[in-house]
Amino acid sequence: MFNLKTFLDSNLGKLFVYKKNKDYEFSLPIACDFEEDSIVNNNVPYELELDPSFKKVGTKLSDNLDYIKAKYHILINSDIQIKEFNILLEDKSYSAFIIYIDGMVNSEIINDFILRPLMLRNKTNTHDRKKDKESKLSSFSLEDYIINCLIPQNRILKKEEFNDIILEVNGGNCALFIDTLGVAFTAEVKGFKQRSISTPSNEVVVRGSQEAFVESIRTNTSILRRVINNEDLIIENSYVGKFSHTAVSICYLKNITNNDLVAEVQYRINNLDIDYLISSGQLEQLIQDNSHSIFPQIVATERVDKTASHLLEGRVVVLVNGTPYALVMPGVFNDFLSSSEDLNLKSQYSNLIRIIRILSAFLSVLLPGIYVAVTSYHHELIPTQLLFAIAATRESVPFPIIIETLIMETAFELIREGGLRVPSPIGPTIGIVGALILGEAAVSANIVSPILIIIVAITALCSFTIPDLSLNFTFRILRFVYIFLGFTAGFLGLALGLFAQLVWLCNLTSFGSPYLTPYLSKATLRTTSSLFVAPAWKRENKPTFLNSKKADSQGKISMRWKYPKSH
Amino acid sequence: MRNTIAVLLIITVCLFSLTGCYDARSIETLSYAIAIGIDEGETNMLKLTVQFVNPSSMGSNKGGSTSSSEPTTITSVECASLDSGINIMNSFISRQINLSQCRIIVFSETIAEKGISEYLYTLTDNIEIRPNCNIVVSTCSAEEFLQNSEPASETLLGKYYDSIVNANKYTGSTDDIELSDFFTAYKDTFREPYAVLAGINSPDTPMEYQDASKSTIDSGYVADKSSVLNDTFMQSIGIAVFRSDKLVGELNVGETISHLLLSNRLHQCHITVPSPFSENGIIDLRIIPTMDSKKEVTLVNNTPYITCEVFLSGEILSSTKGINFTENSNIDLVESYVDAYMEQQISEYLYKTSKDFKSDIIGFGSKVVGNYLTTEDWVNSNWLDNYQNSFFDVTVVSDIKVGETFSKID
Repeated sequence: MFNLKTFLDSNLGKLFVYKKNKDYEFSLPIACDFEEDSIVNNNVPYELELDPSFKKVGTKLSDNLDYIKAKYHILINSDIQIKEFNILLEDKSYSAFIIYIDGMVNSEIINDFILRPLMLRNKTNTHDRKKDKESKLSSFSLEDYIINCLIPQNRILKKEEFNDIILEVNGGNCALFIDTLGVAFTAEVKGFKQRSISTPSNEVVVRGSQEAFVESIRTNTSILRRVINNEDLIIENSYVGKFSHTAVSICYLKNITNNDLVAEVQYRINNLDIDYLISSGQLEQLIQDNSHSIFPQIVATERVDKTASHLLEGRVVVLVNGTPYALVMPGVFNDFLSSSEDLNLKSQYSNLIRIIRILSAFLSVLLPGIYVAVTSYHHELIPTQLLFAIAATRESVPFPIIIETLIMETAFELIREGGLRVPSPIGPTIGIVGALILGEAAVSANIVSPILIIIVAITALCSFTIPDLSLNFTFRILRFVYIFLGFTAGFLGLALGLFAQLVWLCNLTSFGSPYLTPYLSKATLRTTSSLFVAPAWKRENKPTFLNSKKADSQGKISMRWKYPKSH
Repeated sequence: MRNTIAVLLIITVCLFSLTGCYDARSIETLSYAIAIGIDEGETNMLKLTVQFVNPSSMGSNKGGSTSSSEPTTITSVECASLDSGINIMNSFISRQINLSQCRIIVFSETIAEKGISEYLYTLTDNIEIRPNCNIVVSTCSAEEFLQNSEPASETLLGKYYDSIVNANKYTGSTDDIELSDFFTAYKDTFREPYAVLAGINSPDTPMEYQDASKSTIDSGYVADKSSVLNDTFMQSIGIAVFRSDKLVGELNVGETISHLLLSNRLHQCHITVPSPFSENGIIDLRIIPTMDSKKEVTLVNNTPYITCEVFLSGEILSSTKGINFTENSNIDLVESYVDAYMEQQISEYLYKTSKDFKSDIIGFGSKVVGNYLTTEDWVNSNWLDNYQNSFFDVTVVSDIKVGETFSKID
């Protein structure tokens, strides 16, 4: 006889019992429990012994070789290449080796211009210097002879410190060690693949250069030099990150930029205690004045022309290897509302778009907040017909205005974030989903009123006109704050919020420059960084807040052809 | 950072405690009154009529089909005061009544004759009522007035109420009198208040002109008795003249134009004057004031002697056939006719307000007040009573022009 109770007891009991997985189990031990000796990988010793006191290149080649092998974990590192060989010199043979990283060097250069001259017999290395009368007079140095005569390379350096050598090798160069010499030679043999210069993808302009920075710092500095074309452009190198040793270039114009500004940037960059630096975004956060402020204080741009014009104003530009964005400092509020196109267009056109941008900045921050405040507290402010239209559309919506607004704003933020992260083949789906959710379905389902769709749409449009990505984020956060303020206290709340924000902005500085400079201080209009754009012939001064060494950027009469007598 | 958090916390607490979300009133929870009517009550002190808007009938036309509900609801209650009336209405209307969108306040002729000061103070003290809503005196009861006020060409009632008063910018048939104007004039010691005069016209009411001798001239029309022949609808023509808070008389269209000319509130209007060229002919003119009118008041043995100078430019719109307006003599003749006609109109208006109504609605008192050293002297002089003794001397200077069309036709 089938007994349901016993069946359930026996089977259900088994179903919900915890069973340990016996097959395979893995968990990460905490760092202090880590025992190096126990790790065995393919029966190969994991580490070679490293002598910590060994910091300079020694005269015994085998010591150097052992050190390099240990330093680069040669037994497990697959792309580090060490080539041992003998150098032929005046019928003598010296042991030597070169080290390079496979994939980062150009093999042809190594073969043709390093190995071939050193290994094969040729006129230079078989030349008997004792027969040379001149050489008898001067003392012979093997190091100099190798640099000057043996290796036909444009950039070959003598290095004594292992740290310097390793930095060079990591950067794609090769290092040459020779027996009996207490130095090593590093030669420029870079040959890694990199992205070519392309058009800016995030800061699009109609009239202006179509060149954008790339990941390689050397390419970036070269583009910058090409645009500025002046020997006073200084590009100083520095390395940030104890592990990553990321190359960072500090660029400025020696005869224009304020010395203190350069010194401050150098001071901040050289005093960072971090393990690694991957992008300029991280560096931006590490060197900005106010770490808690949601407002951006350093301009990040991928445009070469924008960077160059900032450099020529007297600002400092920092390039980080691996990031196609330049950091321009100091950055004031007005810079984030400006586009590089502003200076290329006629002043009338650029002022029109600048007014539109300022208006849209206000709307993108305040419009939903104003809507919530007006519909909750200040009905009398709405024109009668509009009020009735809003009331009519609101009649069937079950949520309070604040919930309705938050639903729509959140939906919009979701679509925006979703659209950014979605893989490109299914990108159009986001558009369809967004249009359906935001447009028709939400209204038909009486979840939101059509008027709110308009409000959210206008806000979204306004936020797209903000040229800077960081400021856009700032406004997105503030928008929610103002919605909350509008809901709790109406216009009083909005006014308090604006007041607090203004105080906050007034207190903010970026590398010593007041954040609201062109608006508040007595700044001249005739610059490239004023609230409104002056005509090209009237941009006589550099921005005052930069205190540049050179105060003017063009003559009082810039169009000499038109007024030749005034000179 | 700790300071920032503390400041943010304080701000948040302040926001909630000072105002708080409990004060928020969502739009859909309110019932918006668009017009208020005040009548004499039958069983109580007054009868309050409120016209509400049904928002559902105004904007929602989902799927292309418009809602069939009435655009407005009219509710009347008998009550002791305005506020108690609103209170009673709140008890049976599901939504809270809000007066912030009220466009007009209508007083019936009968209640206006008895005095409206009590309601004026209530209305001005009410925070929801806008100071710019129009004060209207209706020749019929306020309830009837609101019930018959259906827009002919406007679909939105609020806009309709605005437009009928705004029409005076090109008709000159009434004035745009707002609550704040009315109340200030009532409180002033040198002028008297006046309101928009409106009524319900229907084909049943006979055409009637105030002055039988000018039966051919349209300026004789008054509200509710004008020549609209087709349907019943609301019309605002003329001005209701008050002395203190009591209605004392009404002005027709012609007198309203005279009033607007003297008080510099006329934008433009059409007038019809008898033609100097033929016995029964008329000439239509568009008149526009060229500069502010000059008014001077002299006290002769404490009797006000008032001189007024009005400057017009006129444009002949239509005329009887066969007159050559390219000749200056003809233009001069028309000019002299217009001057004489307007002088007579304005004088009649002035004597009507001073002798019949004893009400200085233009505010000539403001010209006299400078003659007194102290406010006490001025108040003791009792200008508003003295105004009825005034003598007037009116001069009209007109500049008539003629369109090229006439010369071409002829």
